[in-house]
Amino acid sequence: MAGRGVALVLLAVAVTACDPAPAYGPQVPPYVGVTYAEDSVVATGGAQDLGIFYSDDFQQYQVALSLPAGAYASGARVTLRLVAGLAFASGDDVPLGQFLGLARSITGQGQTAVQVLPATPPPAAPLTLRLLGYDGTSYDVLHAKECDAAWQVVGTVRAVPLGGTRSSLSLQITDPGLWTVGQPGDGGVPATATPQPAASCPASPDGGGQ
Amino acid sequence: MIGPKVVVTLVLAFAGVMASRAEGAPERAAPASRPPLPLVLEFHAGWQGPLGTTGLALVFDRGGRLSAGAGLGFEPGIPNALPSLGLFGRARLLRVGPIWLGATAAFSRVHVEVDRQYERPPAGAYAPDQLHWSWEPGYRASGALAAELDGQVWSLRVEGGVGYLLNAPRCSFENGLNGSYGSCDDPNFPAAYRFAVQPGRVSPSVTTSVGYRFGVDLSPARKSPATALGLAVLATAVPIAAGLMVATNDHLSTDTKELGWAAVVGGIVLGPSAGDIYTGDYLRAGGLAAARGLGLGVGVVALLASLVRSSDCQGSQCDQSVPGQAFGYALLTAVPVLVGYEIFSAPASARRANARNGIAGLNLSPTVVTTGQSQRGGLGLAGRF
Repeated sequence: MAGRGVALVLLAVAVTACDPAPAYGPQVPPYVGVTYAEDSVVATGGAQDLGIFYSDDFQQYQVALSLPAGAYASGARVTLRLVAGLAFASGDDVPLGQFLGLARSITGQGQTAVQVLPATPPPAAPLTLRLLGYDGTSYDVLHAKECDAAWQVVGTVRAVPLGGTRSSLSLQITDPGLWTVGQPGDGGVPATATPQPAASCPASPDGGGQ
Repeated sequence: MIGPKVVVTLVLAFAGVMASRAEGAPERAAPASRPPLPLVLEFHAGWQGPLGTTGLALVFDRGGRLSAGAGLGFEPGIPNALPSLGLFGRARLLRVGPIWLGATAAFSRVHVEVDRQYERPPAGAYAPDQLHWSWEPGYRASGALAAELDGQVWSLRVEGGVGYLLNAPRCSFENGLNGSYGSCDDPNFPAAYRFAVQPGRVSPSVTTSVGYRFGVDLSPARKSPATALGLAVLATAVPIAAGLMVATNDHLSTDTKELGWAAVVGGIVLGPSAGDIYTGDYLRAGGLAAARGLGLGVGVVALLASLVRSSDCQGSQCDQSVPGQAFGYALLTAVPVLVGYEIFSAPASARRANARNGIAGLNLSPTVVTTGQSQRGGLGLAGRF
């Protein structure tokens, strides 16, 4: 009997412990494209920072979002995502991905953007989005809601050289949603471009939603 | 947390106690011809065993209830793998017919590599995460229950148990953008995958081992028909079952799966001959094994050659050979027939061996019988049955 009990215990331990299930954080919709990195915090009412760190063969890169005091009510979950695979009707210009030094395996899938959540309410004070990359030139700042049909050019930003090949872009953003950068002077991306809508977006007559 | 040193000490102490107890343990019903040399050489094979996929072990076993040994193993599925080294102690607890049931405790140094891919929900929203855990080396404590068929010279042992790796692994993560390689505490290693018990740390195992006892007097002894049948069945079924478990496990590498298929083929070709080897009928064992091997190999080749045609064939080049298919199917059908034939004729093989040994033991000798004043010559017939 003792041998049988030992065998059952061993079997139970083996079955339950062989492949534990990962415990992910809460799901924060809407989702667009493919998320490659994510960070989130629960707002405390004070100043806070979120960051996405990743590295290539040479150095560390960073996408950082600074929340000023009072930007969100205490208890709100604020999420920062780096998303790729946003489908556009035309154009292969993916300057954000190039600026960040992302691999072709990511940028080749479509437009790259930074997503800020929650979708509502908007922050009470402008947030600062800081991107560290390679190229010291100017960019148009583009914004879209997850269910929008096109990017909107909302300003211009100049890259600040940091020494060597490194540069920094600093954007003041007042709305949640998708943020990216485009080449200046040409409207960033073709006018016909439309981001892939989120699964939760209502269906539109032209089939832009799901 | 129990450290590797503590476990090594415990296992060494356990093995030492077993070895010392083995000296004074009551002998099983063993033939008087068993020599004093208490060493058994074992070949191990199996799935996630304490010595890896394959290995060799030397066991100090006087045939009593306790024994102990050490082994060296290999992981062919892992390139440049560290060889496994292990110590183990065994106890024979219960005898059921010709089979001993018992337990094994082992401590081994192993090399374990585990890959997993996770997709964070909701489906399609996140890039797939590739995770890798490696123990190079891993210090593993194992416990297993065992069934052992112990002949005079050869023994067959099957163990099923669980192993636990005592030390922490190296952790790697990669999702196309981000990666971390080394410490599981690296900030880039996602918290969702910092498991308390990582995949691969607890590993169920099924192993089989064939042992050869050194120095046994090989004078003919009675062969048990039941033992012959049991050996043939186990030597066939265990490699096939274990091989299929490995070959159909999607978590294992292609190389390891190929080893699983090799075990299946080995079980089919060689397994049924275990009974004939036990009875000493090596010619029959080799002949039938060769017939099965040829049938399987030639059958597969004949079938493929008659069915597979080039994609750019034309006209009659595309015709499939019906006689070739029939030949191939006939050979492949003969293989399971030969498997069943040799397994179920193993008891008869044992009876033939006993008859053969009995006849060999007969002696015909001239005899002179004296009764009173007379003497008569004659022949005497003596034998051992």
